[in-house]
Amino acid sequence: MLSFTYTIRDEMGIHARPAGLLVKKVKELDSKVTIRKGEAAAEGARLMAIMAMGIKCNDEVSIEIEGGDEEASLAAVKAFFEENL
Amino acid sequence: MGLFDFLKTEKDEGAKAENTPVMLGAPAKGTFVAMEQVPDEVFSQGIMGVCCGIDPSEGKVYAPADGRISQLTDTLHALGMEAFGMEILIHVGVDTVEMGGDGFSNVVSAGQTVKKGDLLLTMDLDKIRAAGHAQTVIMAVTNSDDFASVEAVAAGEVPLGADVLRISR
Repeated sequence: MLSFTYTIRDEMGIHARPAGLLVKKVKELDSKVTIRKGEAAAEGARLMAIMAMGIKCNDEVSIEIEGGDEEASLAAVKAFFEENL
Repeated sequence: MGLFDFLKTEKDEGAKAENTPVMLGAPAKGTFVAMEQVPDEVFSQGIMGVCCGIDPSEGKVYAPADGRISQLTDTLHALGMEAFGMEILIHVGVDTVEMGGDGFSNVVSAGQTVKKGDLLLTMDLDKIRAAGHAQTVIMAVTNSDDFASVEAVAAGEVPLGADVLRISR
């Protein structure tokens, strides 16, 4: 398993649009992606679960990548966060 | 007749019920908008799951089915619902997250059980228009991948509660 942490910079946080785009990206990967904020966790492929976490600007999240080509998946998810969030 | 036949019967009926298509009603009164015509590409391209829209004629959003409110948002313009295994996102307007809740009011709370046709939220259509946003009430089955099909069954003007999406397992 690989992971990275990221602090959200988008002032709207992870609302519907970025959550949808994130899910689309994750579904393209062959790894399981988990997003964690504190105690809460959501599968990266489940839109409503991600939205329910209510991730806001300045929140620190950790992202876990498991299975498949973990390095390529990590690079793709990290790039998504840096470009969109 | 075997001892456990009653179990078998129940199970068969359960399976039959699971195979019956489920209908989602219009979440608002107004004009039906097909997924491809929803004026926001994350919805029109199906990125949020199969969806449809209603161009609302009044500032009220109602439950499309019996279910449970799974989440509200701080910006009040969107909420999540669970019904028949579906995860449903009801999103009022396009880019209305930018309004920060102004003009929106939630009538339900998270975790609440609702019946089809119950009022869920209200919105000020004039404020949305004044802010320069489309008012389309968008309803997406965000886990539509879990179902055999989610298809639109409406067109034109739809009265409240009219079937708009048919979901088959």
